[in-house]
Amino acid sequence: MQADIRNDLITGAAVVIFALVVLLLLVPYGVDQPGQVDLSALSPNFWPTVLGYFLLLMGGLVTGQTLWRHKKNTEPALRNTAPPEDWPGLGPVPKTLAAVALLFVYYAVLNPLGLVAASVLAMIAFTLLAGERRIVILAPLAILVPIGLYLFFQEVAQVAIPVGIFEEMLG
Amino acid sequence: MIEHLQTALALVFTFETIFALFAGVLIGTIIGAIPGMTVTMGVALTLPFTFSMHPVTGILLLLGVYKGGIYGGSITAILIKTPGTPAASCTVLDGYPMSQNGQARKALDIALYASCVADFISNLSLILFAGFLASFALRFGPPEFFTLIVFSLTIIAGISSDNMAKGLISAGLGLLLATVGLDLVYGTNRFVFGEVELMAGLNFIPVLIGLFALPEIINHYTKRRGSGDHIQSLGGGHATFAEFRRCLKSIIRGSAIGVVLGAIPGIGGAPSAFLSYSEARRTSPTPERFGKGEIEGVAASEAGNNGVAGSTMIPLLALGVPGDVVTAVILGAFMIHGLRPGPLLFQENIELVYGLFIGIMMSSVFLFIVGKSSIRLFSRVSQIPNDLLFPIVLVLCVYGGYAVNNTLFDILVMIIVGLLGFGMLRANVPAAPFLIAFVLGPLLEDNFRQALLLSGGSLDIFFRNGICILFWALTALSVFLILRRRRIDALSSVP
Repeated sequence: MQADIRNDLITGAAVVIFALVVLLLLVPYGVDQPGQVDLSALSPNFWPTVLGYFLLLMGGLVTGQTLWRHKKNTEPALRNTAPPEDWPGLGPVPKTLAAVALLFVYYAVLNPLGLVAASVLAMIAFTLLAGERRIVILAPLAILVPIGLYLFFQEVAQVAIPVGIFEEMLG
Repeated sequence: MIEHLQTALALVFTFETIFALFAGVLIGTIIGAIPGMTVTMGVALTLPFTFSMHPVTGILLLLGVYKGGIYGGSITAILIKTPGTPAASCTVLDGYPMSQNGQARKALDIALYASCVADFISNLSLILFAGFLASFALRFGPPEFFTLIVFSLTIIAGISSDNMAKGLISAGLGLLLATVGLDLVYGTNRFVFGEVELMAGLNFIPVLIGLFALPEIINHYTKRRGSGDHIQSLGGGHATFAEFRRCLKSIIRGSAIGVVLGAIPGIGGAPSAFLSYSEARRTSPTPERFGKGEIEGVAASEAGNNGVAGSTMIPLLALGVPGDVVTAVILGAFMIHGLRPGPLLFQENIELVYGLFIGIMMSSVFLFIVGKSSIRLFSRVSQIPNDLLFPIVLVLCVYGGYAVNNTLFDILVMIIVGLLGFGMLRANVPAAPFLIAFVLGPLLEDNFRQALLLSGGSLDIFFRNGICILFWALTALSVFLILRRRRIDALSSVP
């Protein structure tokens, strides 16, 4: 219950802050206004402004509802007595952060290495991070899946897949 | 008409289309049978593979995945008490006890029969009603479409979350993201910030994959390893014809419930399955056996669940408004192929509509063939470890995200939307209203502004006739019902 309340408070506050950023920064500086607008409702910034206020209202509503629930909820917070979970390797937070960081690394190496090589490495990294250690299963999958997808998109769907370091071999 | 029908038959009866439909049903059933994979994710991941196909072939492939996925969800519900789809959660009530009693095979058989019958009835309803509704919708102008979309957004945002405000936040974010790109009336930039690739707006597929597949992948890394669901053996005999006949009344009633609820935007399969189940129990001479492994319970819930599959396409094809999140994805598929569902589709591309109808009817037969021949395979599929599955899905996402426009920028968009989706998942903000609003957003704004241009700025145009007033009344009614339901839920939860 307490965790839900904290979660909802963060959500409500984040939406309020985002709505303020939309109204005070993104709309004034991110929407180009034409020289003359006959009707304000036809203006390019009308719709984003309405949505900014709508999000501000909804974020405020979630925050208000949560504070009201918190006020009514008088039960004491339960102390966590559960035994620590068995986490092989990294804990959940570092593991999640590592997964997010790996996503950006994957994106960064797509251009120099090409989609196939980057995907082989990404599959190995993500599978190892998940905790799978059976190389006999991991290695063939990591090679066959990106190559299979490359063959489908390149040969069947006629989508030019960037092959990067394999340019000479496959290009 | 005969000429259009002949063209439609020629479109459908090609090796490519038949194979795509069959493969779609097979892929959908496999995806539905894997815990952690959702039907929406399956349809989203299949979408990039349709780019090079004829529109009928591509859309039938997606519909096959949708229908197979709905049925596939029942396999894990019966064998490991883990519904593959939210709609299959009702099947757990009697399906899993049947497995525990050594009747897993019988439960899977009756689930398949009920699914196929309900799917067939639902498809018939689509064929009978979509054309009628589309001809009515030909009278719609910008104000009527605007009020219709407002109604659709209200009901979808309200129903898809326990917390209505969170559902509306999700819809608001989707509408805001849809404004990125060139302004439709003045042609000026909105939220482009000098990035040329943003001028055409955010592409649908990277947003879709980012919102529905990536959050699940990232979320996998927040979980403890090896939950090890115990799978029941496929023991027991097959369901007999006598048992099927005993369940037939519940199957037909459940199908009818599914058809009605599926045609209303935002309801979905789960309420339909539970309503069908409760009606079957209420009218049963042995209601005490429900929940303990009653075969009629499995049949009723699967009929209710699958009864929505065809009818959710009615508002999509006839009005251009998606009935649920999967049909929102299919709407995106139409757009990618340069088509716009709605009344004009029935006038301008009637062969395509007939082709879809023929293919949809065939999908019920394929569902039966796939389900009957491969139950043993699907029961094993559900044991694929997620540690291997999610990295494969990730690579699929990246290839799919890239294939839309052949640009790496879309992969960056996908990752950023994926992080947003992960945040929403952790904050219990539903993703479905976001996607539906993202798809409907440009239509909403476009129709709003066109109506104002027509009226010279007068808001009276949004009340100009009975259709507009009807949609405003329906919007008010849906908001009232949602608020009333929330009030009742709040009161009933007070001890």
